[in-house]
Amino acid sequence: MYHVKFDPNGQLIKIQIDYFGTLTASYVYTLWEKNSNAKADEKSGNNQNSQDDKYELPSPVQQNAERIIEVFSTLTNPDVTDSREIVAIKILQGNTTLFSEEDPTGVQIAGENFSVVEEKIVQAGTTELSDPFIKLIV
Amino acid sequence: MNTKYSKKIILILVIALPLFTLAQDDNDLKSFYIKKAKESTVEQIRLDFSVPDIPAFKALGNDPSNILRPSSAKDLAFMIGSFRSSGNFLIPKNFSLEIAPGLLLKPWYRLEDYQQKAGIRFLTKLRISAGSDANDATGINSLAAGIRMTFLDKGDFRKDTTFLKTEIFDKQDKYTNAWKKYRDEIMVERGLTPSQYDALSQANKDDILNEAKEKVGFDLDLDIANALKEYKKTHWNESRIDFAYAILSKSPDSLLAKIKTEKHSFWLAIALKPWRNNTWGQFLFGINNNVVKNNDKFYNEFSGNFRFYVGANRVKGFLEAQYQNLDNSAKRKETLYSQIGIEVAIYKSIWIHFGTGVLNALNGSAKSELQSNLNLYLSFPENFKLF
Repeated sequence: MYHVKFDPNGQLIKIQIDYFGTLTASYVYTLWEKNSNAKADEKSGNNQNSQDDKYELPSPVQQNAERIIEVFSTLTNPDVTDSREIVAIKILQGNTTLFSEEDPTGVQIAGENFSVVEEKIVQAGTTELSDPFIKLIV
Repeated sequence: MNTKYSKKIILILVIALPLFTLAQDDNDLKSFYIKKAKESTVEQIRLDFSVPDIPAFKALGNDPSNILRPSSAKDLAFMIGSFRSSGNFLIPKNFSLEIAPGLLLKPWYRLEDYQQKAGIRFLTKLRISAGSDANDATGINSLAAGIRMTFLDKGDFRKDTTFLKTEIFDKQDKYTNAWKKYRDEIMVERGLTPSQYDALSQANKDDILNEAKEKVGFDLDLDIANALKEYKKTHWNESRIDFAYAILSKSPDSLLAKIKTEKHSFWLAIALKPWRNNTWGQFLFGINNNVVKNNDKFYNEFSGNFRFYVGANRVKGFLEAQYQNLDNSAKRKETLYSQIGIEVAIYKSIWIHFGTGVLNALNGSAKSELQSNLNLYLSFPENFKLF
């Protein structure tokens, strides 16, 4: 579990999901309520293009405290050689990227800083799962 | 290919088979020629269109079953570090390595960048290989290195956004949503909140994920593999350009300092689709050149081929011409070979390749009697991948 601190009196929180590599990726983004199996939000998408993989978290902002973000992604490699793929998640408040307590400086990919990054080597002809959980704290 | 054409091909084969039998039994001259053609000409034609997947192993003359494939730059540095002893670099014994730089480096591009930028596609398909072999009888150590590049690949399904959407993304979205839904249901059944689930050991998580995956009801990898198989059937003739280079060096002992270059080889294969919507034809151009050292002098062996295919992926007819110029210390041979033939895949990678053609000896030791021939042979084709 990653922990990302935000300002409860600050601007809207947004999440951006990115994939780096040549594989096809499909995801379900879930915003879990605090200590519960209830969902505050759920969206799904894929990496056909990267423009539509940005979501705003509900407002008022402070109600997102202790909620958990999950990005459940499948990475499929139909090719005949193994391939490396990165799932990169950016959590923003306004235009500021928030970093996790586990990785306070973020992870840079292609000149951009991301909040949480998972890297997988996907064997030829298989599908791998990436499933990070991120708790929003104040 | 439709039934009408298939029937014609079978008819041609039936007519041609007795001709082959006659040629084999007729007289010593023809028998000799068939044997000679098979060993030196026809085999050469097959190899020349095939850019080797791992050029270093082709140069070494062996194809090891255990190939090291480092998955990080750190692994590679560790491997290379172990070849050093007492300040000298040593030639490792019976070593084989294939590196995909695109796999060693962290990807910094998105799928859409790959679709739009040729440089990224080039890098992801680049392969570097190295291999060594020690001859215990002579004490000679061989070391080969090679590089394989794809400059153009119009049959790359990753660039085909329509195929990706209908045959991969739609299925993968459905699969991912279903897998996640069943995983969530199991979490509720077992009274696990998301925090508690995430705190489980990986083995316990895997149990839940596998149980959820079984409920999904379809095998995504199998479905996509089948879709790709169909894609290849309809895109077998797309344009493609492959290039490979290999260098072979030998040393009288295991020290890298005493190594000398013995052979340079390169292969170039160009496959061209005749026009945009064509589904039945393909032009192939192939070049193979070897510069081989013999008695401290380098000799050149060149062959260039042209082939035109007509048909479908697993049944096709072809017209072919090859120019070959082999120059070595013993003799010089210059030939021009042309043939017509058919290739049929009868089971997976087992192909029947039938061809009949004319060989013209332009120079060198080939006899003037050997001007025409008829060949039939069964072959396991070289690993010639158009996709």
